[in-house]
Amino acid sequence: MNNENSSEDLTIKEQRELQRQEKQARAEERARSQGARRWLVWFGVALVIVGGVWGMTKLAKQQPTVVTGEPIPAVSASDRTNGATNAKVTLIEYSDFQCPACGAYYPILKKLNEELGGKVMFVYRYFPLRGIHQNAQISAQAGEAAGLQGKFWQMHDILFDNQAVWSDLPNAQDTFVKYATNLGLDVERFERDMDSDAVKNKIENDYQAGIKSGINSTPSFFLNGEKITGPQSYEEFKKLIEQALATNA
Amino acid sequence: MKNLKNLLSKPWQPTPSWFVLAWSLVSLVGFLDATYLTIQHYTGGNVNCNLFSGCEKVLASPYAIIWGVPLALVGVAFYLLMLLLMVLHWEHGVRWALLLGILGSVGAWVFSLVMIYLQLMVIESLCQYCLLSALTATTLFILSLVWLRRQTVAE
Repeated sequence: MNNENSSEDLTIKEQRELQRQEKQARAEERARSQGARRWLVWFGVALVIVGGVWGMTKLAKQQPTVVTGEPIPAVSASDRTNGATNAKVTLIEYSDFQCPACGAYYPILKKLNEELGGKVMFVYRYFPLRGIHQNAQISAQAGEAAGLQGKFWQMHDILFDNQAVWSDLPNAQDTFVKYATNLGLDVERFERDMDSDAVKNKIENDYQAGIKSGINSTPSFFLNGEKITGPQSYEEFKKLIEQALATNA
Repeated sequence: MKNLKNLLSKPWQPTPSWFVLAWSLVSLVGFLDATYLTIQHYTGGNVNCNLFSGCEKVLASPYAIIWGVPLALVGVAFYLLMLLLMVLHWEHGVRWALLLGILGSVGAWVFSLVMIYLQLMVIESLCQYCLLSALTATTLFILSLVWLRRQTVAE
């Protein structure tokens, strides 16, 4: 097929030249349209990528707002409460033992409880920010497991007092067991409870209820069911509670 | 080995358009998935874990960050690269782009297997977004095998 014809005559030579020129013209035309097509394809790809990122950003932002609105559940027997029972004013905190802001509010709440504990009920609910705090979940389990032996608030205090100690530990569980020992808990039971479905479900229920109420950060405070935006100081917080006490007197 | 040598030296069977389309779409799905997780990682948003509870546990585990870079971001870069390499190959006929893509898909598949092992055995929680990524990586790997087979069978 590829044999070169040694005895070419002029007409064949001319024909070949013509064919070559036509071929070149076609190739140029193809290259031109291909260039336009390539440009379009790359543009389309860029558009899809930018559109995709935009869409994902929207989706990521959307979630908390979609689920807002439901009131938080009323205080029940399964809640970890402190202060006055049957109080006129209830302060519910959705919190994460590993969240630094919760740690900052901890002394404020402790002081409030000392001063107003006779008239106000304080409730702690679990809202572990598992997406950003590696020990959020296990610390909540430690708190709840201590609660099953009647020492939730003692464990609560120890966890917040030592937040910086255990926050980054890969095996925080061991540290929590030590805290349990110090509190004089039945350690074997504590370890069993910490890993039990009952404890995990309790935390998950708190968390899901919080999500349904539109909570997206910790700590989130609810004074008699109304969400309050984080008071900046002890005085501010106390004033808010005293106002609630006055209106519900 | 001989096949590989042939692959580098001989002309290829043309890459079919369904292959390009499938590869691009799968890469895009992987890209969107990883982008979502990356955004959630940096904004600290609540990832919607409605399929398996405890998927946050996976995302908050030490394995979610490698040398200070969140794995989700590595995923974004990887799937974007896979998509761009395919366009480069398809539109410009760049051979090494496809070879690099195939090599990448093999690496990503092995990596995905390790990640699934970690989820099942070490973290003991599953994360649907990570599984989706494993699925897209596996699909790219299978597509690579199909492509390689087409090249070798045709010889």
